[in-house]
Amino acid sequence: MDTKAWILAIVLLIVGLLVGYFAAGPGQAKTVTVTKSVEKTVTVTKTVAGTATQPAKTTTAPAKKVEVKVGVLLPLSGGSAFSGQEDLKGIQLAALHVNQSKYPNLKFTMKLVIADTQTKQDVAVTELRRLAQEGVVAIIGAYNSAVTYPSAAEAERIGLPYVVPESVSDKITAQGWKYVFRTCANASKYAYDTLWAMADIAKANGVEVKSVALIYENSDFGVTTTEGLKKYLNKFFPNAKIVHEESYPAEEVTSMDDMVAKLKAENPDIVFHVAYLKDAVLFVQTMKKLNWYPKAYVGAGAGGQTRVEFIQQLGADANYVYTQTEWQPDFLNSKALSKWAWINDDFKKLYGRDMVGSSALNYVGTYVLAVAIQKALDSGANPSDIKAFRKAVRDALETIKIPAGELPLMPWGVDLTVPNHQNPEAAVAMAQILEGRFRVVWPIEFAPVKAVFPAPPWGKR
Amino acid sequence: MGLELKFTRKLIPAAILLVIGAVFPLFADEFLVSILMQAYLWAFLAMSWDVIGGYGGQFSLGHAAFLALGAYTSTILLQSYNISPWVGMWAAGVVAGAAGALVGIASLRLKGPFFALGTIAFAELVKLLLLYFKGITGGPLGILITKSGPENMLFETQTPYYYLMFVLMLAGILFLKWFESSRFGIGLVAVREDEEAAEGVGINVYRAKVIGAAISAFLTGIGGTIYAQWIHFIRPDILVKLEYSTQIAAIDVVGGAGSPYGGLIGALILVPLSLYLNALFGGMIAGLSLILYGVVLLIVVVMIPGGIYGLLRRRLGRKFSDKRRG
Amino acid sequence: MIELSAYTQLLVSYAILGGVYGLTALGLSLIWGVMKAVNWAHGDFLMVGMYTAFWTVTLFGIDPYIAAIVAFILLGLIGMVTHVIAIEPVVEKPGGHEATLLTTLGISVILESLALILWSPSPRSYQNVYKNTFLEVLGIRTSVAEAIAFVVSIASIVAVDQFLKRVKIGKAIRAVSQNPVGARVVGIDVPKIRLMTFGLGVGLAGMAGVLVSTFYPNIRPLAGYVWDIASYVVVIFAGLGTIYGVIFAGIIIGITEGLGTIVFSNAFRQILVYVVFLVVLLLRPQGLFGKALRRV
Repeated sequence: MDTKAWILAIVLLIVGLLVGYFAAGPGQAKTVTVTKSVEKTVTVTKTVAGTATQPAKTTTAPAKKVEVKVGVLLPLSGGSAFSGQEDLKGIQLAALHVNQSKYPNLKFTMKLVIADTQTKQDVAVTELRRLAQEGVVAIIGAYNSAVTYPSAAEAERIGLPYVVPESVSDKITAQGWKYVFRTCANASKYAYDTLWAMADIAKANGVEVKSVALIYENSDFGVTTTEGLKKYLNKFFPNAKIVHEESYPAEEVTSMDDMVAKLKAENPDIVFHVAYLKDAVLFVQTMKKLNWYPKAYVGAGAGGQTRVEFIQQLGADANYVYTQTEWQPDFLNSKALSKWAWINDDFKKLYGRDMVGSSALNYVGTYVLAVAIQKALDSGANPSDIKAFRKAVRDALETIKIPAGELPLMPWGVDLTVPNHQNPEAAVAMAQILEGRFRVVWPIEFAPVKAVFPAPPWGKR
Repeated sequence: MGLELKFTRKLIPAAILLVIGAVFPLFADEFLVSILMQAYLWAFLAMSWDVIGGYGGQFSLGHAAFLALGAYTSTILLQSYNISPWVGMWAAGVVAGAAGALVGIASLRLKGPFFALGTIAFAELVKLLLLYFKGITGGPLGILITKSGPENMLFETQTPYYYLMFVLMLAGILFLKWFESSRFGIGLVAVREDEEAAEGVGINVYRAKVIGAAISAFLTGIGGTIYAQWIHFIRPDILVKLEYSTQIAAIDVVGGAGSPYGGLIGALILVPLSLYLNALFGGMIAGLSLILYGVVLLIVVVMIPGGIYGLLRRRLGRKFSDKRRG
Repeated sequence: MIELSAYTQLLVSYAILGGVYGLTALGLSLIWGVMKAVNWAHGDFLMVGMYTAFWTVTLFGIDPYIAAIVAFILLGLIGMVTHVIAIEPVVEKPGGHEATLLTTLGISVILESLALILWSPSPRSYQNVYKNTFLEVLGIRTSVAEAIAFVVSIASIVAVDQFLKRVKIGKAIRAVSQNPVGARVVGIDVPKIRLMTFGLGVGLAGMAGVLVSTFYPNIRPLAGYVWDIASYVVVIFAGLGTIYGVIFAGIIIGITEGLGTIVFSNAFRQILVYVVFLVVLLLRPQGLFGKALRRV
């Protein structure tokens, strides 16, 4: 009986793995595609060059391309696996575009070496060591602030440039680290922009906000964002009082009836909720169950409410929810950003759906790193001398200044010349879910639609 | 002569292994060094667990709590009071040990799986308290170690950490070797085998269990300090993980509980396995490495009840006894 | 602060939640009672149940409550396979109870990773009318999905209790749970009973997973974890050898949690739950409703 069961189990396991390998689909083993497309580009440029009758110049140009390895450190399994895999798609697309010479100023091949942190700090540090040894010139990662810290500290010690495109915790750029650069906004900036947006929207609709409530998940993300909200609240809402403040564990929460019941009793005008996906969905569901809705329910910090699954899970109940968002396909409808639509088209071709905020952020981070690598190459640094080249990439990162309009996808620019390497120009937009879609409603000059404020109560939808 | 033979037979392989371990960083690359280093650390933690889990027979699943208490104690001392972890680690051990004594008292009432569940709840409670007292622990934001220098047990490269953990692991083995032949150790094993009989021959069961748990937690606390010094950043929810508690126990059981070498053998198999497989498959099929890890755990626990050390000893023992007979 | 009507609302909400805790704990309690094995993979079986609901509903468009039956059968089979691989070979050996902890840990890791590889980490959901329809009685509101989950929870607990009391196999399970040695003496095939119990327990977990997924968001590889912890707390509270105790313990914990958050903060509530848990464990290891353990 024993042996039979074992054989059965092992057979099942192998079948499962095989099915999994083929069912996993695009995004899992993408490095292969990247190199393939590179070959394709080469042939394409050749034919184009042929018709342009400049054979000598262009046929040699692709052959000269140097290959530069870049390490990717992301949670591909474990608690944050979903976000990690989403981020990876953005990074892989950016690398693909660099390799396809979509950006004429970037003349090298980027080879990604991908590592899984399993959402664990010690695994991340070990993997960083491995990446360093495999000769990567820089690291992009690592989604979770708690994992980014120790791995960035390690990178600092090795002397390995580390680009943070998405972890928001303020502390990462507050250490005076020389090798760590952040292209996205930090948590305080997220909080600042939330309040700014809601103040603008309330003013535009002629509503005075007298009371607000702060609900947040109790990890790093929720706590730092809420600190920022408290710090800047009276700058934007001079007469508003915080009538309720409460934190909860996002992972373990099974019911949010208590919080909604308390809010229903206090009835604040705006509820700021810093949440991941599950708790955000549960909160809105519970508000409907208890038949209460504030004038505005705002997802601060671009957490769960900004995910497509939020709308998928709630359906029509997601309407009128505000959420901070780093990027939405709606951006491409604006005049300034419509020239980047091809990036999203490529993303759609590969993955069958629109880009989301986190993949766009990582795309941008990868692009910035690529620009820095090109600068380092231009300065004459030799990529085969890995230590010196890392230093050169670091020095190049420190001089990066990309004005708004030249950065792909985003309405903002990048300036890493500031002493703490925290891009001060990164901003966060505000979207509202209207008719089952994310519509950008702030900054008002970028917004294709007008916000609905206050939201109609449940009965009148 | 027989004794002498036995002595050299044991000593020579030990010496060879020692030399290999000591010169390893000179020949291996940094990635391998860092993997092996973590294996030593986990080996030490598993040996600490062994005191109460193996010799004492109390299956604790709360050792991540002691790890965290140790890490927090020394880190707070270092960051807020500027006390070097070389001193702080002893304080860390004492704090963890005191918590361990509490668990030991609980073990008097809770048997078998009840004790395991109790320790899980205890660990959760420690995590929540670390989160709750924000003023001291930094709450969910954690503490980042910002000091530097070897006097603060902080090194620029991995090699010093390697030797630190190598020495730690050796100290663990020597301690367990001494412990298992000490009066107290023998008493603890007797309590594990039969509490009432042990009481009958005059062993104080209460004392044995409480002190045993305290020693185990003390050592784990010291391991916690070293862990914090290596990773530079601690936070309650990533330190007090059930995953860590179970990994400590799993390493010891796979290696062979209740023996000085079990922890090392288990760690040398499971830690490189999981880290190396992750490096191999992580970028392609995330999760595959964990499946293989699970399969190995399952196979060893089901097929080899005494752990790998037990298996080796049985095999070798049979060979030797065959020889003697022949 | 909160008016009285809000209190009654919360009381009902949390009583319902407690009923669901009872349901998720039922399978665990059976297994725990019969073989004193800690089934570490319990939450992962719940997770597989949730995915069963997702796939059957989206692929075949059937009602989630029919999916619950599918999940019961499917998970029952998976449970039996698991038992043969991971429980039976170790459970009778010395230190077997601890060994089952590690083997089920292995199963748990394997199930989570398989789910990750097969179904990707994307959080899934399916639309159902039940979570969007509400019942209102005397101003107290609840969703139909939660109400049904509560009713099914009570019904399945009554059904399991009757099964243990009236059906032959059920009686045998009870016998093994109370006295394994005696059961063997009177000719009960103990390994077979253990196999049946494990299958039944895991099947119930799968069913609970489906019911939870009708109102609780996010079906993903780690979705079982949150209910896992709640289930253990309930099982310890309820104690050994009691089926009705599970539902009472579930409701008590649900209400304590709910009222605890009003009196204390949400952050302190969890501390409270574990403190109470440890106190009960230490003072009454047999649980609130269990019979005292006899020393062997």
